[in-house]
Amino acid sequence: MFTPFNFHSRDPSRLTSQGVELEIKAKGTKPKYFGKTYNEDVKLKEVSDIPASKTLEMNHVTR
Amino acid sequence: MIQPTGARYHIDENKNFVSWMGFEFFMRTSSDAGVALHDIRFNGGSVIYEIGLQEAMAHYAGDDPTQGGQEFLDTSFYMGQAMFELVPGYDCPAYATYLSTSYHFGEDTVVNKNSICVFEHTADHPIQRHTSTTRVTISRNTYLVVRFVSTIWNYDYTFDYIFYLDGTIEVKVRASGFIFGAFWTGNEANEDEYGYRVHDALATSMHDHVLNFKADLDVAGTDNTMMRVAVEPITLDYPWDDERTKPRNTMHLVHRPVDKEAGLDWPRNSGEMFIVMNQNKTNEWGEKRGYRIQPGTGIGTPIHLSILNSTALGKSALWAEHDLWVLKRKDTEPRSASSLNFLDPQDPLVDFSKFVDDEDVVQDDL
Repeated sequence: MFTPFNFHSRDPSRLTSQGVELEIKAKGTKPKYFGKTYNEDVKLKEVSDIPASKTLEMNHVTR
Repeated sequence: MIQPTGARYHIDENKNFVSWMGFEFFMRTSSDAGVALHDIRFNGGSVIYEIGLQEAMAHYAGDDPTQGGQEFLDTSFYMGQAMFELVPGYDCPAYATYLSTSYHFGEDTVVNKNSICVFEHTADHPIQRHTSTTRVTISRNTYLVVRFVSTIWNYDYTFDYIFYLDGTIEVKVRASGFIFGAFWTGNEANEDEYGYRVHDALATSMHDHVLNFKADLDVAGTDNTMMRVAVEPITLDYPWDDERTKPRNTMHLVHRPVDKEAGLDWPRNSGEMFIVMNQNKTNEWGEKRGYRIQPGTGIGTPIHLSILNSTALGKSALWAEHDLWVLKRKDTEPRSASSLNFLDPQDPLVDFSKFVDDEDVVQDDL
């Protein structure tokens, strides 16, 4: 492992890491984001390349 | 892990070039040693010019002629050709970018599909956090991985080149597959000195895995020095101590440059740091710019070969005698081994001991 040793003048991860700052309050804390964040909902898109006939079928065992 | 807006790294497949969060590098493959990286830069500054596997050794021991005389130098079996297809969702995340590699064999081009993957992943721990009296700040440890797997007979070696947001570059190797076992008789006196019985007539067979990587560091330029920074206990009289605390038992740093080409071992109690620095380049605060070489995450202390002057190896892998070598970089010494060394251990094509010839290595291209 190769780690910077006085290579920079300050920690470079502060420029690119994604994080949050929270006030320590009981209510009404608004987070401050550094880096990017997703403000809209994330919708998953369903993609299936497997034909229905080839998917696994549940085996029902009758006792 | 999800990537709603897609991958944040850029790959130019024609140039085999990757960039991510300030890191830039080129990838290349060779049929004997798999993927190596070139010209790694961080925020425009050069860090590592070349990093790649040189040789992967497995040295066995046992009280029968097979296990007792057995060692493998796996580049002889073409670890690059043995980079087979990765399983999405298992070897690498399903969202990773998969790249194919090809080589020329038997007058034909052979393609190993999806044999390298590149992906970002977030660790299960943050890279930074702090709680103060009024607020808490915390940042994610998201890193980039370039991964491939070489399967040689029974062993599957997964190689990772990992890049972190603070400028750290890590090389990680994991071994899987299955072990090369030994014949168990129950009649031999010293069978329990080499392994453990695991089946009717089968025992495990002790072996060392020692892998050699070349790292041509160019830290802020090509003039570099390997500095050994020791953390040593000391007893001193400080002028500000009073009679009850004099003399004070404490510790301090001792800087010793490596003057000549040498082999080093990881120190006891992490008592020394190995820093490759450019003595003529300083950061804003006047400190010499460097990069530290240390064992990777989750590994403890990596080993060099336990055997002294191995009879089976001869001169074919003398790099295995120490953990780290500090050498002058030379065009005439491009690789510490040859894939043909395995075939002539007493007179190998590349004799590593000839690389260590007392040359000065202060402020030189290491």
